[in-house]
Amino acid sequence: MRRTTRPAATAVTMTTALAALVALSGCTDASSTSGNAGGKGTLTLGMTQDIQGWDPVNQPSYQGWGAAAVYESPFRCDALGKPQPAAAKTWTFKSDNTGVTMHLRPGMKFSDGTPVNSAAVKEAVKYAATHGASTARFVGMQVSTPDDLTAVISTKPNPLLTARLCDLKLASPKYLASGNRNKAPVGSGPYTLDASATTGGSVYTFVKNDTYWDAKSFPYKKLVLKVITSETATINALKTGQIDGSLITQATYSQAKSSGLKIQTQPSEVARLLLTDHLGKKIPALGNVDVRRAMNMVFDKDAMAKNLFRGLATPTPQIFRPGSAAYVKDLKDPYPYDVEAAKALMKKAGYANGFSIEIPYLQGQNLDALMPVVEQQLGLLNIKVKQVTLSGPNAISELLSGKYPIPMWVLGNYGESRLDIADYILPDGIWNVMHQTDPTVAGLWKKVLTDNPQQSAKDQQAINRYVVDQAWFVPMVSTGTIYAYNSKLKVRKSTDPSGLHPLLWDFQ
Amino acid sequence: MLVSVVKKLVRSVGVLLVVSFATFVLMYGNGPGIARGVLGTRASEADVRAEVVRLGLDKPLLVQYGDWLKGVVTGNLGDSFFTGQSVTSALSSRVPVTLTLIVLSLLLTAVASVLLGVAAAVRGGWIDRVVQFLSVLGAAVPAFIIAIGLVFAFAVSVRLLPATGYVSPDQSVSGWLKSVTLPVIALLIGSIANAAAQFRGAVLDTLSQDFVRTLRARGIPESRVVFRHVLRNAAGPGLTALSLQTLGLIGGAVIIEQVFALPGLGDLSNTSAQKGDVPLVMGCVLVTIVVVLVVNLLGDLVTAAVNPKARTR
Amino acid sequence: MTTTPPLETAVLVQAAAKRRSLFRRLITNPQGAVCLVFLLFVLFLGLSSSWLAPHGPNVTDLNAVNASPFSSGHLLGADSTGRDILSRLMWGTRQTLLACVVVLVVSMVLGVTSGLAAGFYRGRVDAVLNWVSDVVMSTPGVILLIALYARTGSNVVAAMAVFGLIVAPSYFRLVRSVVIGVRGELYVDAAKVVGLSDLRIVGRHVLWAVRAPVVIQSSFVLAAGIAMEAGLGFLGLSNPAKASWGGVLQEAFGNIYNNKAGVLWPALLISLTVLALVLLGNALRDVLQSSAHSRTLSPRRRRELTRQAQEQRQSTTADPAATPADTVLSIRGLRIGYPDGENSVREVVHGVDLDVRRGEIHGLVGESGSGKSQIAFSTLGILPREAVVLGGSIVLDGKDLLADDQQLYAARGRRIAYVPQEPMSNLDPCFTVGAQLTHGLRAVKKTSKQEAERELLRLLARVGIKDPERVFRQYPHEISGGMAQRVLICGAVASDPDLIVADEPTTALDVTVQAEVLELLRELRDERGLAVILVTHNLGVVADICDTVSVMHDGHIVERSDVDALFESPAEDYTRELLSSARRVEIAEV
Repeated sequence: MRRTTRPAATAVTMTTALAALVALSGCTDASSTSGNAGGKGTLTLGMTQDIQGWDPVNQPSYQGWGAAAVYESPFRCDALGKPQPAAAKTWTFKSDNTGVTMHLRPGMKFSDGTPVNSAAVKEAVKYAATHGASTARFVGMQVSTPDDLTAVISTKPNPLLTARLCDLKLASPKYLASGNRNKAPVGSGPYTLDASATTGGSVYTFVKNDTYWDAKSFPYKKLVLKVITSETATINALKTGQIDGSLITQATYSQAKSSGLKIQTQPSEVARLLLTDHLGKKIPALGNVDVRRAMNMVFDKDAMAKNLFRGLATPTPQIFRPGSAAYVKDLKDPYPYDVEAAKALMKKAGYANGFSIEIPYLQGQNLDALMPVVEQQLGLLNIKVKQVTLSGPNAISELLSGKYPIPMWVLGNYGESRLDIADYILPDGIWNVMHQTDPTVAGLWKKVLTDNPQQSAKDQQAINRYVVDQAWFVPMVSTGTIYAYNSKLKVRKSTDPSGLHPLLWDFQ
Repeated sequence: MLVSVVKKLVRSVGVLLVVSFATFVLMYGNGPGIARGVLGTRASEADVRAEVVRLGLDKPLLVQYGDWLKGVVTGNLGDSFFTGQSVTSALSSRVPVTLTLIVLSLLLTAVASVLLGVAAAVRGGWIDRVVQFLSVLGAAVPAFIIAIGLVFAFAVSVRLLPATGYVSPDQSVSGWLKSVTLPVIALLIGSIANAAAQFRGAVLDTLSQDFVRTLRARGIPESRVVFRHVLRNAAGPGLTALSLQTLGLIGGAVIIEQVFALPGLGDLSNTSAQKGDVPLVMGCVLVTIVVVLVVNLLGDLVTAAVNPKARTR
Repeated sequence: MTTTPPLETAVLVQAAAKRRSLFRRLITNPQGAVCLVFLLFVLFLGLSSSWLAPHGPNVTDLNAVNASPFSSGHLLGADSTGRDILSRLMWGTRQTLLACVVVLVVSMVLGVTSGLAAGFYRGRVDAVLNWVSDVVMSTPGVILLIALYARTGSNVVAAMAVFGLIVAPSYFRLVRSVVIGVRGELYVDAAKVVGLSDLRIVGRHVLWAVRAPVVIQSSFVLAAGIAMEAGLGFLGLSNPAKASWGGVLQEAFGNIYNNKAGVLWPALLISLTVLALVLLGNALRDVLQSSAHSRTLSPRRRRELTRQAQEQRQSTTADPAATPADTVLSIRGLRIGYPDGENSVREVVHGVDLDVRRGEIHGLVGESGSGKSQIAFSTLGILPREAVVLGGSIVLDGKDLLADDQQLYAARGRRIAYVPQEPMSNLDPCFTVGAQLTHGLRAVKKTSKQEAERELLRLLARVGIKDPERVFRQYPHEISGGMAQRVLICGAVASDPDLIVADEPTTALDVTVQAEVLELLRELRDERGLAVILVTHNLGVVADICDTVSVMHDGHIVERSDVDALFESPAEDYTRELLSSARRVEIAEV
């Protein structure tokens, strides 16, 4: 039509008006550096869940690349949990696990200009002991500061001291006191957060700090973390080069392989039920060891490993990582798959009619495939499983509150197995949700506190055998995390002591 | 004309107030619950009570709403309960993504539905039947299922367009266009189906009016009668139909963002709602209502510009 | 309105007569039948799931993980946990059914009752409810439901109830407009007079009138409800412990690389169900509101008839002797018909002959429905789309306009002009008077815009408009009826035509204005030597201005003579009847 009809003309005006609206509402603000990943100077990684704020005591180790970028700790732990230099240049540990003297590197500064000194370390410890979910780990740590660059930490005997100090994130004391901790980080790490190119929940951009003492270990000038919660979207983004690397699951493993992506797996998780009420306080039936053993016997671990986990898992009767101190090599599974025998055990225990339990469920935690199987198999023993969906920010706290004596999770295990014992078996372990005590465990752990390495391994294995015999858990398969990345990328074998995935400094 | 514009504006503001208040009551109604949500179940009663006061949730709802409104007017929509990030900044980077989808879809729908509607109404015959058939099909199959089909085709088979992800325009315009092509197509199909049918109806109605016959009798060629006179008259109901599409488009966009992993409003509201981050959810609802009202207002204005009779209403 | 073809009343009568049961009619409609069967099948799937589904909804079989379709025991394959997809979809149908019921009940109860109240009571109730409906219609449904989830967690009943509220305005509007229409009907007034309570009136009579649109709308509402419920499930807002269509789709989408076919089944099920509901709604609409659909002539038959008419034209040669000299237009044997079904046509003008000479004002008189307007329209080629010219010729300047479309278009507006009946509805409301006139003039005459404007302004003054400049810039709704009619006459005369066809040009005007307009027509005829065909049912007008009169009855011209002769000594009985009844009415009016 040669004639511009009025409706068409007004449509054009509408376009421009609304386009102006779009432009005004902050196109410049929007996410940047997406699209051409793998280019020189920018490392773009995908994250399957969002960063929940920047408070230094709230930084998870799982997908904690953001925290690793902006924060520094006194030590970096290597794959076996041994300390490497970080903020501390040199140090001396006391042989009875009661403390350490560390000498800080001179000339380090936080991103707000304040110096990284022993006072900062003291503040960090004080802060960690009074804020966040893991205060128990830092309470009782005393810090003295003989001089500006020397910090002396003393505590009750604690074999996990190294791990704790590797975790402790140093942040500017001014920042810690400011109350604005979640908004933006103020640390002394290799990168600083570029707020103008960051959209919460979507894209986080970090710019290299060239004055960082170990700048050469971080060859990328820019780090971009993209939050992609859908796995399909993740694999597509990997295939099209929108991101350079990301964690994936068994579901997309074959896709990743056939697309020419490189894969790194860490055998670091065990899918299991945690039967934390072994005293039968909340669920009387669970106080009976036969019941717990019966529950172990209704799972066809081979079929689960092969089908549910697509061959990327191995059946296992223990919760510890192969190669760690507590791991018992070639432990025979005392609870083979035998539903009839399990039923007999239940009958013997007087629970042929079963009982009811609630198992909490969270979305996005790889529990979707497991839950129906668990429900069904336990149902064979007349154990009625009610799935309780938890959602929202307090889901994890509810999960760990003790309200549900039998959580189900695919839990990580550490290279340092004492950490596993601390988290899962000891009365104050966060995953031992009913926090029940046990004299055998207590006795063995007391010895582990001050043991030398060989004796420690023996005692830890004794703990392992005990909990297997007492069926404190229903371990099903040992699986691992799968990290897929662009074949052009150079990624060292992960140095993560938690064995979860390559750490920031593994990307070369 | 100014009077009617002002009247419409007042009406829109009224709608905004009512809907936002209703949503506010829904979301903020449970103060202790929200506080506990922020602090976690481990928190003691005392802590929860303190948090309720800190977050201002102990004041009467009307007062809270008033404060929130005051904030809205000054551009401060509060902060996220969990990350402390200001809601405005969270929205400002999400809104362009969703707006892109909606604006592009609206514009393309307008053009396509005019062409199809006019062709079907004026020509009748097989074009009419095809348009009617397609409109039923397009309107019936939900947009997100079309989207899934597209992802399937383009992710699994043809590697022409990126199946997921968003590239912002200041990054690369061609990348941006490529990343929004599939989502917009998914939205378009249903939207055009509806709008074309409505527009066809509007054109048919107009064609049956007396003055069209008189214009023909004057000797004005049919094409000019249609494109100059009929279109102008049908624009009113046509634009109404189009602005009604906006609601559908927003709903579709929310789900489609999930399919294509686009960091837009829908995605933000979904994750915030699941987390219980109330200020963010309120912010999303507010923006959505504003978009709908703005589009309606624009539609009314354009109708008034085009149809003088509408100006006095 | 004499332009209404006689057909429409007949259609309404026929529709009322066919009171076959709704169900029967739906079944015989193929589209409706297929959809109904499919939906019943889906319903059956849901209700029978407990005994017909091959497996329970959450039964896992580790050996069947990601089974492909048609594998043993898993007709549609299995998902990533080894659960049978077919069973899950069947069990999930229950959730869908529940959602449907909730949405329908909530939206119907809210929408229909408020529509009834608003339409029946009007006034403030109507204003308030209208405003509420507008507000609800402006709310973005999905976002609200997501916000609701933050409060209630996954709760199908709550979510669908809220969605029902959001959809209720569609019922409200529908019911309200029907009720407003019905309320004015006489039988409602009669019921009130008799003393029936409002509730009774509404319940018995008004509700009955509303049932058809409500049933049709329900189909669409259900379609929307299912789509919404599936969408929410896909977003992950439904209960993961229970199977649901959306949930199965979400699971399959996440697993798309390992089990490509898995997405197909839930997607198909959702799409087909929604589609079936929409098509059912359309079928219901066709059946319940039987439109002129079944009365459309098939295109083939239409072509056939037109061809026959054309052949006939070519074979008959015009008889020059029969045409008096000075004739501007000559109609011979004109036959016009309207569709009576797919293959049949009902003739409404049965072979009419008419001649009009230069300067002659020829009145065409008759009752409404006699076919006079049809003749008028056919000279200009502006008959309604459905009409079929079955035969005859209209000769202008020796050329048959019906034989050659080009001639028809060339003559239209240029040689033959049209003055319509209802002035206000015959002006384009979107353009100023001047703009319309200019468009019309420049369409038939090659002239510049300024020249055309000048000429038109002159003419506007000539037709008696006091301030032509001002009227030129005004919109049609800003001028009076009388002025509008003058504008239309101006438009007709502007191109300097030879013949004016005026269709009841004064019927819609005040008596005083009538006289003026008639005077104007006479003057223009005197000035320009115009021929005029004046269609009217008003014998007063005929007496006033016409030179010759043709009396039409039932599609035939029964008498033709000079106006004086007609009034003094009508030859036909029908003419006599017409004259006497007119006089009776005049006396009665006095």
